[in-house]
Amino acid sequence: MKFGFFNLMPWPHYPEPPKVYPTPNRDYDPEIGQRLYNDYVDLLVHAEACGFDWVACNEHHFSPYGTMANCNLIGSILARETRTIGLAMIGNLLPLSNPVRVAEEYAMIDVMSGGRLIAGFMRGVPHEYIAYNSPPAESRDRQKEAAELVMKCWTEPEPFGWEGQHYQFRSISIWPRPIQQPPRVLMSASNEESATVAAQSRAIMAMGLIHDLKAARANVETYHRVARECGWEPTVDHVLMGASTCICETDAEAHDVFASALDYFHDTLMKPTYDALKLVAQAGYFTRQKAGASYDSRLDKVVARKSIDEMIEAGSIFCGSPKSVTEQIRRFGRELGCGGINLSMQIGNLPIPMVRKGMDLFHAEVLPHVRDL
Amino acid sequence: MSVIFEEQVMSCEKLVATVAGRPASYVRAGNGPELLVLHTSGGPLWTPLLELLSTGRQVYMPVLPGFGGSEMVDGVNDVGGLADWVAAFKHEVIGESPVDVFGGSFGGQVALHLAANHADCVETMVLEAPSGVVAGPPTAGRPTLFAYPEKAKDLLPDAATAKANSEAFRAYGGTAPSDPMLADLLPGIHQPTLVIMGTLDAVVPAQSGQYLARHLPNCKLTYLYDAGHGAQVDQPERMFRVMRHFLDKGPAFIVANREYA
Repeated sequence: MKFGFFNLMPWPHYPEPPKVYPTPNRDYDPEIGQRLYNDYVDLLVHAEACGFDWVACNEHHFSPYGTMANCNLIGSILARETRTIGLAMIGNLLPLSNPVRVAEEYAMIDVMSGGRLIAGFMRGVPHEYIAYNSPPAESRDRQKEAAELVMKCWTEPEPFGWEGQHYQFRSISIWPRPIQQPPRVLMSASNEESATVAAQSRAIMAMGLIHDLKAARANVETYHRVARECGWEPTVDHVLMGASTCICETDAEAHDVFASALDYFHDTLMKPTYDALKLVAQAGYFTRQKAGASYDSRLDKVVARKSIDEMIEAGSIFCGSPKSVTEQIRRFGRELGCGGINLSMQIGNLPIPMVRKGMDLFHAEVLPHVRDL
Repeated sequence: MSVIFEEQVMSCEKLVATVAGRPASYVRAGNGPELLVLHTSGGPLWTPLLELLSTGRQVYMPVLPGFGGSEMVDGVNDVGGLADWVAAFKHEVIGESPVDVFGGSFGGQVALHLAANHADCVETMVLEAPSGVVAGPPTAGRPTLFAYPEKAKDLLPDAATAKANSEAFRAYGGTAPSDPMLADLLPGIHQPTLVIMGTLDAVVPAQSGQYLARHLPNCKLTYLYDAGHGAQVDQPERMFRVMRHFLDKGPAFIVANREYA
């Protein structure tokens, strides 16, 4: 089993829950922010010494729960500060970005890191579409076209133009081109439709926000079935799952600190995001009727008032002593048949030293028992 | 005026000229600078793209001998010979000045020979997935000819004409995996050329566009998203957008211009 260390880079100093979307930035203190970025990057670099296989960054806009508007900026630092660990950008929001710029920045990270990029082609959650003023209804079409265009940017040997539905470029020839030909691509597979697209694209399937192991397993099966229909056979390394994770010396301590950190995450940091989801639904997108297994439906299930034990049981989190987390990971891997797990360990307002301690416990007391799964 | 042509009502005329002492049919439409169209091995189909092009161009599409129910011409036996015949048609019907040329698939292959051997005929070229450039197997699992076959169903000729088209295509050597003459001809073709390849083309390999971009001295390559081999049928509006820009501005079409967005 391979493991990633994921850091959302949340803002941990919010005085009280904000009430509206977008969160006013008057409460962001840039002086504190500078120290936070520094400490967060230190944690990501530390992941290499802790035996993680990749570090992961992602992109969110106007959000105190994740302060990376462009994860490639962090990725470029990590390309220099680390030596061997994979750099998972999970990722750039393709429908909201200039695909050529995405191809260029990803290629730079791949070259600077010696071919260590894992390129996330993400579609983004609904509130990002408010932030960047893009109609949510276009997101799937834009995602599909942008993904093909980025791949062309990486692999075409001659300058080329692109005449598409959403993107038109007359003459493209990116410098640099990536070391990997092409870089490994990761796509969200959080519902049946996106699992299908990931398989058709021969991308690594990635799933976070798991609320039910059986539902997640169904997505994995869809991914495998569609891949076979498309003439290829995914390996276990193509199936990546994510879970929020807290490891302490004892179960009691882990349960206590994680419950508090998750309360801060959901009740404070995420509140404006939930409000934005309601606005997107109110505007006619992602209605309850259409939601099915889509983001807001799953999010509701994940954040519904559950106990730590219930969340562990559902596969949403790993939490406890090294021994308990080892058992939780074993069960999770067995149920889902995944070859990689992304551990999101910087959650809410968890103190950074506690996250670092959890990483060290993972390295010393969990990883030796789950590496060969 | 609108005329009946192959059981379709279109805003084009079917006319007859004399080329090398024999009658030669051609289709003409529109007003503006002349555009010589060399059709695919599917014959002289009046596609939605040609309709769009005729809004700003005077389109001339000769019915290549053996296609569209016409007779083969003695002495015209290969693609080079066909290009010679096209040059004669062009001089007879359009005049002496060089004109812009658009060739689709097999017509693109003919256009390359025309530009190489009759450089004085050709001003600028647009080639849609030209055949004969690079041999390569079809890509599995993709549409064979059209990404949207329903768009083509009213365009295609009757079975007998389609069969004759295929025989003519074979007679000219069009079914060969690649055209042995082209590699030597390409470096001598200096006319500005735009090659358009559908991203779903499963007939002509993508390497063909790359090869032309590398070996033609003045070539631009553009991928037409969500289009198969018959790109002008699958995505006529998109193709018109980029073609019009290139035909009007030449290589300077890479400079963004809202008039062509």
